Parts: sequence; structure tokens; C-alpha cells
Amino acid sequence: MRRRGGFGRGRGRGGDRGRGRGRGRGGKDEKETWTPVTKLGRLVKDRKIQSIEQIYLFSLPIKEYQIVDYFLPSLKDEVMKIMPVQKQTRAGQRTRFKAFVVIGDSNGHVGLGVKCSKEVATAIRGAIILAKLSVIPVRRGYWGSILNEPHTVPCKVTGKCGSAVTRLVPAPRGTGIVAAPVPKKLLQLAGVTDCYTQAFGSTRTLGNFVKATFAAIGNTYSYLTPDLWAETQFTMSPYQQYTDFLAKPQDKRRA
Amino acid sequence: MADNDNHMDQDHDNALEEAQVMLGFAEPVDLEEHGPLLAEDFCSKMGGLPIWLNPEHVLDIKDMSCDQCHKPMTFLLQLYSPEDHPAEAFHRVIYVFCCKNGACHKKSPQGCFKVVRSQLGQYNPYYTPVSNDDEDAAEENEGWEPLETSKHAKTCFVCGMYGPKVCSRCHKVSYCSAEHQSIHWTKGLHKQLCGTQPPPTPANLSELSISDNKESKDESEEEEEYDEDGNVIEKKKKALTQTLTKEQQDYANKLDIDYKLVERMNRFPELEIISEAEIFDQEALEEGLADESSGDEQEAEEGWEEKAAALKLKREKKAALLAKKNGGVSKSLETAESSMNALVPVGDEIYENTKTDIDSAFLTFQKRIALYPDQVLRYARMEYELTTPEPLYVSDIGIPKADDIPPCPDCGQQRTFEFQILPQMLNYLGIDHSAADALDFGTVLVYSCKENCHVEGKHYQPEVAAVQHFSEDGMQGGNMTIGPNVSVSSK
Repeated sequence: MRRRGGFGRGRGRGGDRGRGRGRGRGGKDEKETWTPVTKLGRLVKDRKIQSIEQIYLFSLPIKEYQIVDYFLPSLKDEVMKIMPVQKQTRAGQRTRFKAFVVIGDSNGHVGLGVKCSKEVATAIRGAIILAKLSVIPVRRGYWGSILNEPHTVPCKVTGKCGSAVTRLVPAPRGTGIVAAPVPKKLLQLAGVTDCYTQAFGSTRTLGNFVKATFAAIGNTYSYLTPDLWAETQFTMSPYQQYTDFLAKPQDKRRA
Repeated sequence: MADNDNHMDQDHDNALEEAQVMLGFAEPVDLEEHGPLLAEDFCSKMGGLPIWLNPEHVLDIKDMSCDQCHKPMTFLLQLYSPEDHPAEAFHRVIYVFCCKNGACHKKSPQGCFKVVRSQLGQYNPYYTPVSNDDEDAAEENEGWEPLETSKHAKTCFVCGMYGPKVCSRCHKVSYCSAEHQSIHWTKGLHKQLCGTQPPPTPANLSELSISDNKESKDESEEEEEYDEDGNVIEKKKKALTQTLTKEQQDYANKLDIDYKLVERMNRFPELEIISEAEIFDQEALEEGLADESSGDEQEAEEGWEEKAAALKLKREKKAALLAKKNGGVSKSLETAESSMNALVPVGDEIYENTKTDIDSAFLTFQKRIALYPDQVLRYARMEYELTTPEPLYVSDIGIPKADDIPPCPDCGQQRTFEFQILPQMLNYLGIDHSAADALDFGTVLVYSCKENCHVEGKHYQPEVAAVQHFSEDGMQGGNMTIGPNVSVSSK
């Protein structure tokens, strides 16, 4: 009697034919195994992609947060603010909670997530997922001599959101992060050790302020510095690795 | 800002009117316990060869070729979905075929998935209920068995569709097209096995003459002849079977390899689809989350309650003062008052830009999937009285509209949503995802005629499949796109 696969409305023949699904419904077990849904997710699960930098290089959209979890298991999150927001309805006010979460591994990756929900825990959980989806690489450089590891931003960068503008300026080693608590937390999670900051506009609006700092940090890799003036050799996208890329005649091709 | 909660509210309100969705899960066929899947099991499965509901009339590749590359399509899945209302749809199976070549899908998604519906009445010349004393138990019966008089059409060895052609040498294996014949010849082992006979079985040999027995006696290790008859005979037989099964095993192995080569070449791996109801409890979801971080929640609330109370007092005092000053309540003041009741400082709320670019439809999809992460199918047509739930879309773009779905050619009515195939199924198809032309889709929505129109003589009614892909959006905050001409140092 193996008709466990009937679907539909037929009386007695369709529908749930019994839960003989072999394995038990252990909740924990199911939460740990990740069944990828997108193509990128499948490639990551099959270990065809070695690092998250390959994904950043081709600007591939990351839709599943488990991809980020896979490459960066040591991400730490920090709830910046829970802001209750209200909407006026005929039956009074409807309060929801907006959570701002910053996530980072203190070694070159940060993310920022904002989520609004009826309950605080749901908002925080959702914001963490959104923060993971928005993880971005941070470029660090030197203030003076190119010695040891990079410790500060490579150049002066600025980010703007609403009326809040944040400017990050390179600082000598040992300065620490000279900033307000909000951008300081963000820069710490990004792995920037020394930095001067200047903030303009209404920094009381925490949402705008943290987004402006996040934009500034993200701009470190958008800035074309002189050492990047040399022409780059294009590499194969993870989607193209085994196919017609090699068939095309190209001047610059990887050996 | 993702207003996911609004969607959730709507779902909850309609939960009473909408039926629950039935989920499909792919599981390996349990060969030891149940044996291979047979037509009379009326099961749902994916991959392998299609099991035809109507064994006499099977699909022809003329109807089942890809619109782009014109090659025969590969069988993807079949669902057994019986209906009560039209008597002819007592047994009903939906077959889905797809083109294995991902490039065809990229060119035009529509012609690369084909769906047909096949149905049989309760009293048909192919299956009869397993004999039961109780006649009423016919519907709730133990199973069906095939009638001996049922005729079977010849099916192609490679793809399982109608096979009018035969191998020109042995005339034993059928094919649907010259292409599949050449696949079996070159990629399979038919070149070696064509025309060969399987080695004789023990039954055959026992009828042979005594001389053969003597020979085998010499080969065998047993020497005693005069023991009890039973013993001797058994031992002899054992010796015989030992030498025979080796040859037979070789042959059987070859057949097996042949089958497996062809299978890997042309078919998807065979799995059974098990159905299970989706238990979707909105409150349970949120409660579960609250349990995890209850500690934080309490602290925050305590902190806020005081703050909120203090803020409220302040605002109310201000409002009272303003009201006194200005006397009459104007519209602008009303809004100012209402905004003063908000816990966030007045001016700031308006200028706060906390919108982020997120794919909210995908996040809703992911949240729903997370309840049962390895589901491969969502079947929506569950109850007659309740409304069919809307399909779970994977993005905001590419949602098929009513005009995009052609109506049923027989009754003229609009086709309705029946089930959808989820992208998790791609994990089970054994395709190489790193190829640029790998098969990929967001979800495949299958629409079929609600009335299950039956046309005499037409055994396979075409239905409609609509494909939706994921959107290309990721998370981009402002101007933070990383260009391709920036080399990222990877460690």
C-alpha cells in the first residue's frame, strides 16, 4: 500500500495518505539542513564557490542568507536601536517596532538590516536576516607607511542618507576610532582599527546616520585609487566556469 | 520598508476560506520494502520513466517535443490527483515534461515545459480493485491490480513514450525515434547485448539429459552420490546454480549497466513524491521566535515603558499648551497632535529614511518555505467547497495574469491554478549547476481545467505551465555597487 503520493480532492484516494514519511519531524534537524532555492545557493552548497569575494566580484545578488552564513560563520550582530513607530488608525494607535541591526566579522565584512514588526523579537530576527543579506566587503588601507596589516580606510570617503552625511578620514596607527557611538560600532564590526570621522546634518535620526556610515564604508571599494589604474584580467563568473568562455577568442585571457 | 506583516494578516483572515496546501516531498523509492513503482500503485513520482495511467494509449513524441530544439522532452514528474466529480476522472494523473537543455529555457521559458492530463473512469479495461468481500470498500480499498486483458503499448527504452520503431537486428527493443535508438546503441550497451540470449535458467537445465549432469558433477566439488536423494539432488542443483548464476549475474550486470547508462544520459533520477499537508500556523511562527529572545524583549520593554511614559507626558503637556495658545483646533494642529502622540520625536520621524531595497516577495516566499525546507511541490486544489489558495510567488515580476493563461479548449472556461513546482526540485535532478546552461527556474505554476473535461478518444489533454524566475535584485543600499573592474583580494 504504497499510495502515499496522492494529491487532490478525490475522496479517500487523494490527499494526505498518511504521514509515513520515513524520518521524524525533528524540528531542529530541519532547521540545520539548508535546501537551496536559487542557483547561487546550489553552487554554494556544492562547494563550487570558494569564497564570498567571488560573489562580490561579479555583483551577483545574494538572495539567501544561508549563503552568507556558509562563508562567514563568525558574524557578530549588534542591535543598534529598537524604535517604536506608530500609525494612527480609527481604533487608536498601532505600534510596531523597528529594529536596526548591524552585523560584522571585524575583518572586512559588514551588513546593516532594518525591520519593522509587531513584536520586538520578530523585528530583531528579521533585521538580522536582512543584515546578513546586505553584507558588503570593506576595503582597508594605510595612513602612512605600508607596513603590517591595513588598519584604516584607504582614502577619505563619504556617505549620505537623508540629511545625515558621514565622512571617514584615514588616521595613523594607534588612533582608534574617533566617532560617535553609532558609527563607532559599525566601524569596529567592519574591522577598521583607526579612523577619524566627521558627521553633518541631523545625526539624531539614527536610521539615516547609520545608513550614511554604511554607505561611506561601502564606498571604500567603489573609489578608484591609483594602484587600481592597471587593467584587470577578467576572470570567469561562477555561472560560466565550464562552458563557452574558453571558446571565445579574447586578447586578455587567463593562462 | 517591507510590510510583510500586512500580508500575514490577510493570509490569516482568509485561512478559514482557503484550503490548506498539500506539500510534496521527494524521497527515494524503497525497493526492498515495496519493490519498484508499478502502474497499479497510482503513485506520484519524479524522474525515471513515466508510468502511464492508460497503458494502451501512451504519449507520442510528436506531442512532446521542445518548441525550441525540437528534441523529445524529458519526463519530469507525474502526480496522481484523483477527482470525484466527473466520473471519468476517478483516476487522474498529471504528467509534466521539460526540456533538459537549459539553453532552450533561457531563450523562451514557455515552450519548454509541457503538461498533459490523463484520466480514467472507475470501471476501465485496465485496472480492477483487489477483490474484497465488502463492496463498499471499493473506494477505500487496499489497492488495484492490473487486469490480465489490458493491452500494453510498446514504449521506447530510452524515454518511455510511444515506441513504434524497433531495433532492426533483434526486433526486441522498441524506440520512439532514430535518435534514441542511436543513443542506446552507442552510449548504452545495446551494441554488445543486441541479439544475445540470456543464459539458461536452472529450470531449463534440470530438464536436460543426464550427460550434462555428469559434466556438472565433475565440475562441482561434491563427490558423494549415494546420500539421501534429497541431499544429493540439492547439492547438484546448488553446484549447477553456482556456475549458472555467475553467467547470469554477468548478464544481469550488463543489463543493469545498460539501463543505468541510458538513465543517466536521458532521464532524471527516479524518486517518489510523498504528500503531506502544510501546517501553517502564523501564531506558532511568531511565538517560536519570541521564545528565543524573551530576555532581551523584557529588558527593552521595561526601558521603553518608562521612556515612553515620560515622552508621552512631555508631548501631552506640549499639546495642551499649544491648544491653550491657539484656541480652536485646526487641521494642522490635529495632525500635529496625533504625531505628538507618537513616541519618536516629531520632526525626525518624517525625515527618517529607513527604506531599504529588499525583495519582499522573495522574503515572504522564503519564510513560508522555511517551515518545510525540502518541499518540492505545492498542491493547492484540495477541497471542493473551499477556495483554492493563491500560488506562492517567488518575486513581484513575472506574475502571470489571467490573460496569459489560455482557457480550456473543450469547455472554454478559464484554467485555474492546480499546483506549483518549487526550485528545490532542481537539487534532486542531478544536473550540473555550474554550467551556464543549466536548467533553472524560480517556480513552475501549473494551470488546468477545473472541470476535467473529457473528450472521447483524446487520452491526453494538454494543460498550461507558467514559469516564474527570481528577480535580479539583491540588497543594495544606496550607491554601493561593487564594479567588476575592482579586483578583490581573496584569501
